[in-house]
Amino acid sequence: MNFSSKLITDAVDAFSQLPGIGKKSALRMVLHLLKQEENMVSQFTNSIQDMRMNIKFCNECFNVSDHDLCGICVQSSRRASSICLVESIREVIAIESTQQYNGLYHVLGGLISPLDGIGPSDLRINELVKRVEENDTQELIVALSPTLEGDTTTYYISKQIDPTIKITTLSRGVAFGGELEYADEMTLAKSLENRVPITQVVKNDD
Amino acid sequence: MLSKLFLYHFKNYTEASFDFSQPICCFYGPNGAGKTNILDAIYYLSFTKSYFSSFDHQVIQKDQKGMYTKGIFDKTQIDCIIRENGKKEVSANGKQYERYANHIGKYPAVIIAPDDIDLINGYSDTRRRFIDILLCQLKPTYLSHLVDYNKYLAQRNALLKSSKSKAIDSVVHNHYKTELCRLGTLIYQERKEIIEELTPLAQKFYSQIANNKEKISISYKSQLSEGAMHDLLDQVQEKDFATMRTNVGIHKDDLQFEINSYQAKNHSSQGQKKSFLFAIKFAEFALLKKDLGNSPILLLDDIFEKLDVERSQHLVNLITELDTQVFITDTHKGRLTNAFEGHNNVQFESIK
Ligand SMILES: [Zn+2]
Repeated sequence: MNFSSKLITDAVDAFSQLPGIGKKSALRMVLHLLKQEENMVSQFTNSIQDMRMNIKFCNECFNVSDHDLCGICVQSSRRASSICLVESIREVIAIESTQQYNGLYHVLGGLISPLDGIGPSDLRINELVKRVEENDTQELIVALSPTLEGDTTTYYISKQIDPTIKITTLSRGVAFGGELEYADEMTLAKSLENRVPITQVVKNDD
Repeated sequence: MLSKLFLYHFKNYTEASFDFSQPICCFYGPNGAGKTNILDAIYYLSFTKSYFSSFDHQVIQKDQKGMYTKGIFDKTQIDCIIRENGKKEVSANGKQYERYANHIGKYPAVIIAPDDIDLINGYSDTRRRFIDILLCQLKPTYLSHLVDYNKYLAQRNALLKSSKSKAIDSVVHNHYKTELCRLGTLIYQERKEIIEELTPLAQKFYSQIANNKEKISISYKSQLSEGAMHDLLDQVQEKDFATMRTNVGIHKDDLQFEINSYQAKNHSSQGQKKSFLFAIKFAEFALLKKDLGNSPILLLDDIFEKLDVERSQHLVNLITELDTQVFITDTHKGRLTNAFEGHNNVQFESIK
């Protein structure tokens, strides 16, 4: 596409870097912004910039946060004895939207996969082990994707955590063929309720 | 029986439909007309993937983004769709399958194509693929075991490669080894059993096609026959780290074909090899029929080409005796009408 203005070209290029946005959609957005009042557009860009510059990750659970501790970790009504282990903040959002879980989270930041160059030390596993040791954690709910990488990570963590702590996982059949975030709220809520001991998923070999 | 086939944007077909009223259907026409593509479409309905193309997008007509294939098998309509976004859907009477594995084996098929002679002449991966295709149809769990094995293998090999730059985590490594052994042993058992069943059947068909008393054998060559996979892996651990890949396992399996105790690959004539190929494929057919209780569709691509008259005639006799639905392609109508002379349950379709 050829525009008479380099400013427009740059803006279209910027939008089209977003996932799922092609040049045509990007142009539509740019033309829409062009019609808006100047201050509305600066509000728009400021909020994006603020988000990126000021976002923090919770010191406890590594969820996104505006402060040192996230909105979930500061809530005193949350059951601190239960930690739900997830791969990324997308799963926190998915599980929160079921309104069926009242414990805390721990965001790992990925799954063990040598093919992707990710080993245990690249994930927030030590932080989890420490957290479980230092707090009154009674149950660790593993909510990782039902893939080989998810299973490997689950196995690895089960070997690091104090064996007296109950480790459970979401019942399978959930999130079939895909990721947790695609499961609808009802199914996700059900699988949270029907969680099973980890031994049903990870075979103990020793 | 497949009574109707409809293709839309499948390979060279913009839109085409076929009605099959006879158990044997012969497609004739010039090379490049798309005869093989019809067989591939039927294969696709059976396996939810192409026999000839490795990737799904390759079955879509040039310059198109999706495709649709429909088949009526008795009273069931099977639809295979690739949507414009690349998503694939397979359904039976409008009900979409959650797993393709639940469909594979319901409408079994056996295909014989010219390049299949690689089964005798080619590398071991061709022979493993043959066994895998057979077992996928017989055991729904086989495919998932195989897929998982290959994924663990790739992860372990990546881990071995990473050992060059950093120490590898032994917990992760042991997990990969344990899973490889568990899945590898399951796959080994399945392959071993099926190959033992295959040999006597193949012998029967070989004698019928070649019309002689030559003895054939199919033997399973696997490192796992020498010991438990866990021990074998321990023995080669040092080598695995040095070469940065996994040196033992069912991914190294092979089949050995012999005629009168001589390796068919190096010591047989073209005619013997062809007879052997047909014998193996018909043995596959017989096994599927016995275990599934459902007669597989035979897809025969250009089989009479370069086959001597005598073998051709034995082959036709065999095909007509099998009492199943057969699709055959050939460049020459005359060759087909001659071959099936005297049989009245044959349908001829011209493909231009
Ligand atoms: Zn937090």
